Amino acid sequence: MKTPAAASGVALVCGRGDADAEAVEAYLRAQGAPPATWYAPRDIDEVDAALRTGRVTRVIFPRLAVFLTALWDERLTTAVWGAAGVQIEFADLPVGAGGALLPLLLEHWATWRQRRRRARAVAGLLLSLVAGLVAFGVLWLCGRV
Amino acid sequence: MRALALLAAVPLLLWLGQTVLLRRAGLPIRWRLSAADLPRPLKRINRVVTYLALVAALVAYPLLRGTTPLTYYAAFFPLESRPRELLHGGAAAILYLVLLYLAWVLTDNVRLELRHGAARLTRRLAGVPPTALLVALVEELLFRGVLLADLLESLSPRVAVPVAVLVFAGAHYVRSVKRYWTFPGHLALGTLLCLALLWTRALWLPLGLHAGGVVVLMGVRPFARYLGPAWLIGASIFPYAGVVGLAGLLAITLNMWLCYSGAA
Repeated sequence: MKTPAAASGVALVCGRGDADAEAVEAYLRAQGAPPATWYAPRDIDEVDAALRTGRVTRVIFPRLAVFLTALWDERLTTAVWGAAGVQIEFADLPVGAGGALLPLLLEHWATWRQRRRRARAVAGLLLSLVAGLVAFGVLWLCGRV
Repeated sequence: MRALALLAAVPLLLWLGQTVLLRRAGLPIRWRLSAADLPRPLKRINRVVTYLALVAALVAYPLLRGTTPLTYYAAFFPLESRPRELLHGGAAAILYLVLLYLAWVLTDNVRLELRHGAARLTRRLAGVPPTALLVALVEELLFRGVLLADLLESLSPRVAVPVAVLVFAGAHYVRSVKRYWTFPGHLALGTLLCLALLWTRALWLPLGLHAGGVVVLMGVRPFARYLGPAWLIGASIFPYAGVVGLAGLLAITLNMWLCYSGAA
């Protein structure tokens, strides 16, 4: 769910009723309260789409964990998120997790995912062949009975 | 050949309906069939126009032949033990698709997750069987019962089947669509369904195959997130457009040939 769709350039990845909402609002106030669009974490693909069109240039997450969950779930296009100009911020950042961490994380993630995608495709192809053979065999046997 | 002329009139009717609705919404008229920017209430009317155009074609064809629609279509549903072909076709399509989805889920090429609330999900799933049956019935009556049957009266099967397959596949692209690379998938699907009619001379088997496939696709849709490459798993409701789906369609066609090639 998205509220409201202003062309603000700032996206908040947090539900209005989430436990983190208060912390995010406080962070936003501390930043001078720029107009922002709220996206529930499950709708993060909409932020992805907004980044592609240039409607969003700054994304604020409540915690690093919310960002990482989206990353593991493959809901982010790392090439888009890693692009220059997209500013990623966290309302509550763990001590020591500085600004240099994120580009590094995205770069390594992209490499790892590419490798994983290839392995996944090969495994999918092989298992699909097995599935197809099983289906063919079952139908063939049923036809002979 | 009158079926071809009749089917060609359907997009014309759709275009006329769209033009009236575009004018009503104050939007510019366009050649392409696309309701994308129509306001929601007019979109609904546009959908009704589509259904009416299809029903009109289904009713008009038997009337043009001098028979009633009921008499004409009933001939495609012989009762002596043939309805089991409906179940056989449905079970075959469901078996292939379920096993393929299982392979894709196990290898993380498709991820199943809950995307809707319980009430919405129940509503969507409850609508799957009747919608699948209705979609399959209308398409089978139109593309096999009218088009292919008509072509077979004047052409040999070697010519009639490819023509019917091309028209069936092309009909899915008359309206503006997101992707066109799924066309070979529609060709393979059309081939299976046309051959199923040719081999059984009835609509039970193609209807079962078609409805079984739509049941799985619609049933999986609210849960599936496609992560694998499109060449492997197709896209969204077109899993038969990837290489695996195409191979699956070839295999199921072979299964049906083994069962029914001498049945007619």
